[in-house]
Amino acid sequence: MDIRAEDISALIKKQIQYYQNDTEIQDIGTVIETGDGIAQIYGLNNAMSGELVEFLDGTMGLVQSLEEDRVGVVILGSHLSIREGDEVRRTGRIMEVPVGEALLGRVVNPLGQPIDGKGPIDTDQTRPVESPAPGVMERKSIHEPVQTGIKAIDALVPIGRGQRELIIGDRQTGKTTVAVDTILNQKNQNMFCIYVAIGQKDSTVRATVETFRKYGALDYTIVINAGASAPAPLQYLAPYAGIAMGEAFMYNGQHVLVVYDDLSKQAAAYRELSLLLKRPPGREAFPGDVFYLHSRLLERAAKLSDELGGGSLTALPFVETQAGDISAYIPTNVISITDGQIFLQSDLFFSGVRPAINPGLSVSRVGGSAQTKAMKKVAGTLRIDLASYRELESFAQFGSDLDQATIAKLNRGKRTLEVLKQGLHKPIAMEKQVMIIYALIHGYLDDIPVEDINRFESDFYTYLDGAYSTLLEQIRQSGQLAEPEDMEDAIVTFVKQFVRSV
Amino acid sequence: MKNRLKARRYAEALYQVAKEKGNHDRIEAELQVIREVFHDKSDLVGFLQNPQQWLNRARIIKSTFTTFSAEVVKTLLIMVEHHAEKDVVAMVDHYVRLLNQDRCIAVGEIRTAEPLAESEKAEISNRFAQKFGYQQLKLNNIVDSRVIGGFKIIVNQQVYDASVQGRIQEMKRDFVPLYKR
Repeated sequence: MDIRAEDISALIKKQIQYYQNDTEIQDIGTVIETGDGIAQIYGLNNAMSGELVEFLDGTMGLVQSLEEDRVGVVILGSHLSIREGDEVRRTGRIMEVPVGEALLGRVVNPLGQPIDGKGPIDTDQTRPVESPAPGVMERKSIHEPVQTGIKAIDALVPIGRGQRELIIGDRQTGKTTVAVDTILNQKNQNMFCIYVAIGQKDSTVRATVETFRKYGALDYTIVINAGASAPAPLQYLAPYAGIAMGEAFMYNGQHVLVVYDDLSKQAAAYRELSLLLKRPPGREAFPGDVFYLHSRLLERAAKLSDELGGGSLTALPFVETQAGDISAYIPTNVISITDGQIFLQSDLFFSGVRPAINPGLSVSRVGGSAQTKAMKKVAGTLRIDLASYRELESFAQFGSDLDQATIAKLNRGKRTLEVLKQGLHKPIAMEKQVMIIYALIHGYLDDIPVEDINRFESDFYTYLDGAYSTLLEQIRQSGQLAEPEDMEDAIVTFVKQFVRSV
Repeated sequence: MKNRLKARRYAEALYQVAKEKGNHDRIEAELQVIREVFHDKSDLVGFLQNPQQWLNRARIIKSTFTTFSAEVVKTLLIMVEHHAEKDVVAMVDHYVRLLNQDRCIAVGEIRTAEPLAESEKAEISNRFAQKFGYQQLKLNNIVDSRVIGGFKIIVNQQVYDASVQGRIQEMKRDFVPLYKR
């Protein structure tokens, strides 16, 4: 709360000018019940749903349920100072959060207040947390890629700018890592990132922020934190605050990536809120409008038409499953809303496939049209090859005498899996991904021992950076494959000089 | 507080019946007597709630309120039958409010730092009756030191704040944007 001297004099001047006019009859309500972050208020007959109300001590509340003689209000902040019989006043406004570039590099709570100890946020722009999603004519088909820097995603389940791609999996399967790596790779990609942490341990969020800082990603990232100790209303509001901040960039013609980590915790917070507001519980005790809770959030992700500046907002919602059960209530809801999902499996994770993406269950319904031409060409058959490898693999376990074609296919499959593995916080540029997959599908890796693939890959990148930087530059600039001779030349010369371990 | 809604239903029904019969003023006077009898800690409510007396409830009501209008006695009988003895007081309050609404009279409170003189109170009442949309305004003076100066009128969940406290809060609201509070 900062007050400048010129503000005061300007305000007093205004007050003197309009003195006598500013006292009017206002609606007030009376607190009749309070507790658990919820207050029931008698009166406030004209209050709107979603309106902000102000309690006697300045604490704000959000009108959630309107009943015949009372309204249910969720308290944003401490409910300890609110007492029965207190006066409550309407503000006539709905909730807003500060937006703008001043927020970049900051950690804020869902109300937009800084919690990183770096002082106040210098912005006077705000945006309401709830706003209608762009309509049919305001949108455009997705055609630009989000480069996640993760080979398995960019090749198999590509994400486009403006897409909503669900990341789903059990606990401890590397969901957050996927998002963090994606954010790290957005450096110099003309993309702002917003990381919304809902119901997580504050220590985890701190570690994530430190990772961003260490890799220089914090300069283009806003972190919104509603920790596990935050009251349910704040956890419920956090994604909406995040998307409001993102929309401001999007309507400015910029590109934004918003990560919600994770929506199952938000749904749980909303369930808590709804049960306290005495709304009838439905399946898994979630209220009836839990689908709307997520659909109205994710519908606001969009690729805007050129008339509106062509900005985009890509959403990466997370959902945590229990023991791989994707048919629970929240996972099915969010799967049906989003444009595809990336399914992370714990058994893959523990067998060393990291990121533990299951290519069979992961899909991207619109990302294909956003893939660069080069990537599309090399990765076109990868998914089918992997599927047939999985099938053959289970067959090959029974028989020992296999024909040459089958053995070749199995060999290729093993190397494909190996190439799709990737280290922590090591995003790879698109052109390098194209080169390694090109080498893979054209059989240049078939002679390399499986144990050496990892080393081959990293040495290959260094080699390309040194000797073939123009080739990489060409692929990056055009988005197309280079001349086959040039690419093969690069690969063959490197394979020749590569020292195998056996 | 809790059964406001329930009490309102009985009051609305009784008021409509009374208005049709044209004796709503007499019933109001009777209800004021009943309000005294049915107050929170009265023995009558406890007695009626005693399960041993459940069969006698109707007889007790009929024999006690012999001089009252039939409508009032019937309402009481229904309320007692529905185990709503405790809501009688709220019902009476609602009835009075409905009556006052029809007469364009409102009862409210005026909060001041120092007690008001009767003449001041009368003047304020006269002046503000129109402003709140009533013909007549009855104000109860409540002394509240938090007001600091000026006065604050609260009538039917509407407030006219001409107090120093209100001015200070208004200033605070102007200075600090919503999202910074």
